[in-house]
Amino acid sequence: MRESPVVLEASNLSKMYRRGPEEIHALQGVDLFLSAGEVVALVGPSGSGKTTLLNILAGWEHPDTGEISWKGAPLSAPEDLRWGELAIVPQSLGLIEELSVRENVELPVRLRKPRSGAAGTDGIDVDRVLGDFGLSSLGERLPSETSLGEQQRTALARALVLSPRLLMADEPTGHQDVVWTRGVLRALRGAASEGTCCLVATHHRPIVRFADRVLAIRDGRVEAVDAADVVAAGEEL
Amino acid sequence: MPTEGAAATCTGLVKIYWTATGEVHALKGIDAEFPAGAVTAVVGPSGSGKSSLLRILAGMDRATAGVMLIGGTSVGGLSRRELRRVRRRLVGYVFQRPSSNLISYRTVGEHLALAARLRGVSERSEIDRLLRLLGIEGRREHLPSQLSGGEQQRVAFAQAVVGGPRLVVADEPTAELDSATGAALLETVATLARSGTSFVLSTHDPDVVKVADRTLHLRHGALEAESRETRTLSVIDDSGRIQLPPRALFMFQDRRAVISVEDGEVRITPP
Amino acid sequence: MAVAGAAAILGVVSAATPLFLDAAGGATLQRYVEGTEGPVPSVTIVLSNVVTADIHAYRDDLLARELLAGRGGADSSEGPSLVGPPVKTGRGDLPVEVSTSSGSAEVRMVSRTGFRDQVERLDEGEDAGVWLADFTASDLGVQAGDEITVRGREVQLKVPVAGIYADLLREPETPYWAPMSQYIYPASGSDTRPPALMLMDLDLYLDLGRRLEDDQEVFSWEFPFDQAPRTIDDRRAIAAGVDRFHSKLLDSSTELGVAFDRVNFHEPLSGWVGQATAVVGSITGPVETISLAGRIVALLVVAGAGTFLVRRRRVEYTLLDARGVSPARLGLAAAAEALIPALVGGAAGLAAGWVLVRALGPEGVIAPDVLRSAAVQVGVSTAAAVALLGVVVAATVRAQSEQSAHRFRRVASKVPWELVVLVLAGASFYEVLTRGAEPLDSAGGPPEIDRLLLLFPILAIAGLAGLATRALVRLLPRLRALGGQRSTALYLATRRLTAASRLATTLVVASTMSVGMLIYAATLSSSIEGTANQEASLIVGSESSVGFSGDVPDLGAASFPVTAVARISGASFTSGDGAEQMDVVAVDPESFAEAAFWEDEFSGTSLEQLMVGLGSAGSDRIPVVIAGPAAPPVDPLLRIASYDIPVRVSGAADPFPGMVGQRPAVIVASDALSAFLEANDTSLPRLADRFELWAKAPEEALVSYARGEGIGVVRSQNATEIRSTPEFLALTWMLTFMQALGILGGIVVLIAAFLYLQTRQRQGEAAYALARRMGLSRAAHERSVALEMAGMLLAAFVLGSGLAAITSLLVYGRFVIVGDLGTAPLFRLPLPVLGLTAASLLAFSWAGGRLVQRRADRADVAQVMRLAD
Repeated sequence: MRESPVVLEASNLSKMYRRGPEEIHALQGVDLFLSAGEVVALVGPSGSGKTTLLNILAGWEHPDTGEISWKGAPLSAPEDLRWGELAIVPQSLGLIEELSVRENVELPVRLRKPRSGAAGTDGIDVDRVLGDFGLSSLGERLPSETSLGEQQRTALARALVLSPRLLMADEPTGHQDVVWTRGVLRALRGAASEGTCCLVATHHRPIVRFADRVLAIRDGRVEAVDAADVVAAGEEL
Repeated sequence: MPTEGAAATCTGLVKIYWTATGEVHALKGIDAEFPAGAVTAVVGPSGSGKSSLLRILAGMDRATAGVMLIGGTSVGGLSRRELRRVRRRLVGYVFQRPSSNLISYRTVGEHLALAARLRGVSERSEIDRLLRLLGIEGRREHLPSQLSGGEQQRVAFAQAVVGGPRLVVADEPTAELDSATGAALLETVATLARSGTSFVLSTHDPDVVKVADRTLHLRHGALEAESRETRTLSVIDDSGRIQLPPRALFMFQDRRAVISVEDGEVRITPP
Repeated sequence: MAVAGAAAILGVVSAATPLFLDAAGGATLQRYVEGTEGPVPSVTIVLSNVVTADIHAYRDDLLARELLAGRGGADSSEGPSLVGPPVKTGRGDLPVEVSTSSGSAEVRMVSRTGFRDQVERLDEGEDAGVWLADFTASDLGVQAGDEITVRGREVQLKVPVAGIYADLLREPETPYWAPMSQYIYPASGSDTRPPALMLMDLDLYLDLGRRLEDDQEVFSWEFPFDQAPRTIDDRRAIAAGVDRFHSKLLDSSTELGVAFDRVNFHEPLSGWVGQATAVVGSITGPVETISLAGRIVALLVVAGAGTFLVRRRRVEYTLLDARGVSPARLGLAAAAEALIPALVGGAAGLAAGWVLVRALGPEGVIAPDVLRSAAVQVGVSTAAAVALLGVVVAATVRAQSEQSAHRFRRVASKVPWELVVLVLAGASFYEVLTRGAEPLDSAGGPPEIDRLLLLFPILAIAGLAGLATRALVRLLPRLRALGGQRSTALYLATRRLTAASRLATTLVVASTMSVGMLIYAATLSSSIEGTANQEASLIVGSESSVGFSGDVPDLGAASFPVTAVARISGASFTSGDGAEQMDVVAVDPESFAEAAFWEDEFSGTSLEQLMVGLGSAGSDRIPVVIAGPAAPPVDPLLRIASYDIPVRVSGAADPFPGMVGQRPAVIVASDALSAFLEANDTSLPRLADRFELWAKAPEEALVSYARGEGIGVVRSQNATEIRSTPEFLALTWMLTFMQALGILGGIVVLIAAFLYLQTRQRQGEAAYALARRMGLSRAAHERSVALEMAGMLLAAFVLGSGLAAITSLLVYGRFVIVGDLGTAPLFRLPLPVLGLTAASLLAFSWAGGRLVQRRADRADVAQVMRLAD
């Protein structure tokens, strides 16, 4: 049942690539849609095509077949979507080593084209975002001076700072302890309540339980599944 | 009290390190035992000192104070060279991220051969056996980039385990694995443990705790509790200190309590 | 890659030194041997004897066997040949009278091998006979084919005239006639010319001599040295061979000794070889110092490459360390890996060094075993570099192991090496000051360039560069707040700079040192050249000058400024305070200001004003200008020879063109002086040592002008030649060497910087991809890299140039090259070099940004993201 507007819709995505003599069919006719304000978990074992799907939705790879539409209109170049529309947290995090934690989170604010013509924070409270992710005391540190968990949260904060329409995160809780896993989920829910759609590729059970919808990908195909079934059946995540 | 056949024992282990912003007390006096042939899980929130404990166990760091015995040898007083020898022969370490355990331009077979050489064993059969045991024999000639995350982690474990060290230490080994792969890995760990290798795994993952014979709960650099199977016991250190669980702490806003001992019971009540 | 590059540079530097030194030695010697003035360098053997043709032929033969056939090898049987075929001269010691019916003249009988090609033949007959100078011929009224009578002591002979040649006096001296110049040109101070030469072939000479019973004959053999470029070793061998011959000549138990009983023997080569060796010796110290500095820079880069390697292979090394592999083994492995690229680099460096020395350095020929020793040096340096790499890798790995999981910014290392270096720098400077030795002590011979004078600035620059960089790094976090409120590029650049990594600071220090060396050498070079130029111009008087005897004729128009000058030495200035020795320079006030060399600093009054002052009539005292540091005396009297000339001082200058050394001089107007002298029954030509023309023109132009005006040019010189003494050249070569090394060092550093940038970009590809999505434009990114580079390089440039300027300021005054004129040495900043360096650094920054951006654009983002999976 769709109550909120669809942000992104993908139909018939396929992708095949070669690894040496092998032909790997990463995606085979994938259809999916993502609506505003929901948290969607993308589950699947390694090698199932999760990362390929995310890469394609991000525009870093192009599908062999299929289309993507954004807010109803066809989107040929997802890579051109701005951070305020689509924000990404890859597994490698991609933090800028020479900027402090605070500066990393602030960067999207700095770089975006000002809507009103004036540069500046434009009403965005970076300190609050830092606080939400428990990074307030770490603001001046360089990423290399923080733990992996803290770096992960920095990347998340950076992705959410502009309240994007769609957030794509690849395993964002891998290095978080129980407390901060909850913290991250809280932040995601907060963002969702303001309209951000959060697509989280994960195998972490708390998120699966927490998500509004669960998409399972296996052998290149995606289908919606019930969260409870997934968890209860001890299904492969 | 160290028992015979313990793979490792630590007494009063303290670790302090100095940073640009001040001192950090990572471990505040840990007494723990890691029995041979057992799987010990170490859990606790971030900042509880898990990583520090594991690094000292693996001979990669030195404690600031206290005694750490690995295989009966006190590692605190060893020279760098001797400590390196400990790392080569007695313990194996598995890094958190699968990619950190592998050299990008060497095949799986080469990795294991190098690890075996360092351990001092050279039988190819040992390597074959391990590969089979971990289900990755078909990957012998593959480079790390050609392996999935789960396979990479299995190779990492194989390297750590080849040649039979006393102790294998792994930092959040299933963090980046999906549950199926993680489960397979843990099964292997259990199998290997049965043949005499001890494992110490730090983790957030409840599946790991399920597989472990014992779980150590760390909080704020101290050992709060110890679980065996379904029982969790709080730990009392040598000076009689015990950690209250967080929800109990909530009852004592002033941080002051009344302790009464009677009838073989200790009661702790707010004043 | 960086290793290969550094090894290459190391190779160049190591190879260049011995090659350079050997070439310098050869070139210095070559300059002497080629000679610009005077006779062809030869072994000269002079004998005064009455001889018959047979005896002469016998002696000739002996010399041919012993000397002409001699060789430079150890046993005189192999090696380079010592000399070439001789010029044989026979000369009558006293003039003889020749006459015809029309007149008579005095001539000197001379035979000299190949004379016919060395004179301008005006008239030529077919018969054998003697050759007469044109004015002799006109005095005698003869032409070719006529006969003249030669009168001996008791006998008269009739001799045919074979030809007439142009008077040698009117030509400037050629190397061929130089040994006979005293028989051609009048003695100084004298108007009368020596008897003209009556030239003839040797057999005729011997024949006439015998028949005239002339027993005053002098025979000489001049065996010329090979003037083709040779190595210094070759020349040493030749000198040794000549020396062996000389010993034989003096040994009365040998045939040679007996035949040449009382002989005059002279050869300049041994002395020159000694001097050239000394010159090489004097620059060897400094050159080796510079080379050492260059090698250190290259090794610094190798060390940087080592830390860089560890950083790049972070994962692998951490893993192996955790496995218990010793850092030593890792270092060894790294060194082994680097061996091949290092060898290749070293070989390339050797080749490049050879090419460089041939192209830029002195044009001496280089001996093959010098090349061999250069190759050995390259080998040693390469081995050292590889070993250093291994050590650095091992040390870095060791330092990084057993660290806590959280890695925080390292506190700077405990003992700053810079302080040690600076202490050494201070010590060497102090040594130089207290030792007080002039760096170029020309008194005894070739200069001793004080090694410390070069060591001190290199050490000082290195130490100060290190300290300054440290201070900058400390300061950087404060600067973090600045920068880029608006400009993203600036923002990113400042952040990267303030997060200064070890490698970045090492690069800055290394580039500062390179810039410092370059600018230091360039500053010294331009200062020394400016000073030497000034000194030479002062000595010559202008750009070029010619000297002649006889009075100055009225000069016709020339296409360049020219002025006539008369010089008198041995005058004195008497005043109330006593007498002081002075030179007198008599000038023509009207043309002097335009033609002579002048700098405004020489006097408070302009040259034109001074000249006007000289011409001012008025009192009966002749106005003069005092040149020299002394204060003008009161009521002076100028004494030349026995004449006292009342003068008054109308101006002062220090120095003045035409001064000799530090001797003060008096400048006076020629006509005023002439008038006075003539009123006292003498004349300027009588008293003057010589007359000169000074001109702002090339030497050849001036000489042909002068001859055109009928002046018998005796000497000519130009300022460029004067200052190109071997001492000056040695210094210039050395400074060029230093500059080349500075540039090379800079190139290595730039390449290393560039590689560092590339790798850093590769490691930050994921971050870059995301930043692009956040709105980072490619242009902004490229600019930020360029700005970061520019920031680092500019800091290095400012630091390096500043330090170089300061250190060269402390040192420049100590080089006295041309002559001790007591003029203040000039300090000239090499503006073109500075500008060029700054421009190239900026160009590199731009290029760096470009290339890094290209790398960034080419990255496959999907692959990058996938790798983390």
